[in-house]
Amino acid sequence: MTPAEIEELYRDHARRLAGYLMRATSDPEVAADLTAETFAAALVARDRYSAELGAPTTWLYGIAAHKLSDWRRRGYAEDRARRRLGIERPALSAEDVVELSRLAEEVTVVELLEELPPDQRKAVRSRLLDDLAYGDIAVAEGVSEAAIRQRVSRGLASLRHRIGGER
Amino acid sequence: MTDFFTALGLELHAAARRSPRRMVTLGQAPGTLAAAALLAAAVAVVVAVSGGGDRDSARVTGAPTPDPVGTHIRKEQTLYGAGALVVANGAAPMTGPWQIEVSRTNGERDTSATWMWHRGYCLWLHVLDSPGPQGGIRLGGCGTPRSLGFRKTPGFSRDQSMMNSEPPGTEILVWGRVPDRAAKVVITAPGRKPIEVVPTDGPKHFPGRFYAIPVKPPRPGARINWLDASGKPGSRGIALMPPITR
Repeated sequence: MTPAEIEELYRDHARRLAGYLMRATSDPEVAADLTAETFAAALVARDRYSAELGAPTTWLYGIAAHKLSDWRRRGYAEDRARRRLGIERPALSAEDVVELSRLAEEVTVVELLEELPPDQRKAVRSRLLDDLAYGDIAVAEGVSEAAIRQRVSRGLASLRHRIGGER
Repeated sequence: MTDFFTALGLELHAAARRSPRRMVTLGQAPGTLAAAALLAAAVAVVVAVSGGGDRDSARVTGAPTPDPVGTHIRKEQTLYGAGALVVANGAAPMTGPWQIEVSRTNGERDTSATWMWHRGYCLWLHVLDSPGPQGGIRLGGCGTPRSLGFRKTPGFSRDQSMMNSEPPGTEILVWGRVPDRAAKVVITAPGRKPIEVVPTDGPKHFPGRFYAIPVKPPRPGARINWLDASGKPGSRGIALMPPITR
């Protein structure tokens, strides 16, 4: 993956990722730290990305999940990749905090996705977030296309139910 | 887009167009380097560049002051997830004030596979006058309890940094620990005058002595070793790494 592709990932997904992290941490400063560290780590590790790891977004969220896990375990946000690249994490303004809080509300579905059974979660993620074709997902999973369609359908139905239940 | 996202995007853009800073952990490097001959005869010329400790006169005016040796740093004031102990301090002409810290770790694994810690102890170089979080940049290595951060060279270790120098790489700190019986630490390179310094004692009852030596690259073939009181090499030495040896 090239630096330009990482920047494209940033443009397309930084806000949603920050919202996901904001919802997970309930702390705008930590969410900002983790967002910056996730993209810095992606930049550092870009040469190790390959299509076998899934879509770029899957890879990116995987990094974010690891950073989040580290934060929960240690109690502070890692900054190793940022230091390595010499990246300063920008300070948050009051408007940024409000915006992060708003973004956190937008990622409810992403959060709920994690609560789905693994096969449904993977199918929904591959189809809707990674934009893969049913046939490609089926080949990757070693099952029929019909099975993938069923997993996606059941996963979405479950998400609709959960969202409805929350609201 | 908010200020935060714009600013972070610009930071990433700039970072993508410059080389990453190299931060080498001791656990990675020395053991992988080939063994070589013992340090040759006696060291001829002593070039005292920096011995560390409070005596160092190269401290940068107005820069942060290192903590005294033996200072216990509370967990909340470190980035290690644990408290730390200052075992050495000093200042280098370009890097500025530094201190060497020890902390404990339960072992960590960065699943991005970029970094990994071992359960035991970590030895850190803390460069105080730098833009890192909580007062400066830290780099180092972690290892088993007896190795004090350096899994493959527990008694004698070296790490090297190229932080905080303009242009990058013009001064590299070579730092680490030597056994209590070490009287000097020496860096040799073919065709170059040796750099020889006296390591400083750590806190009372704390094992080992410590050193940090500013080096101006390049020094192809450079190695570091410690000498006992009679001038005898204490080990087969450890090769330094690029960019010093480039």
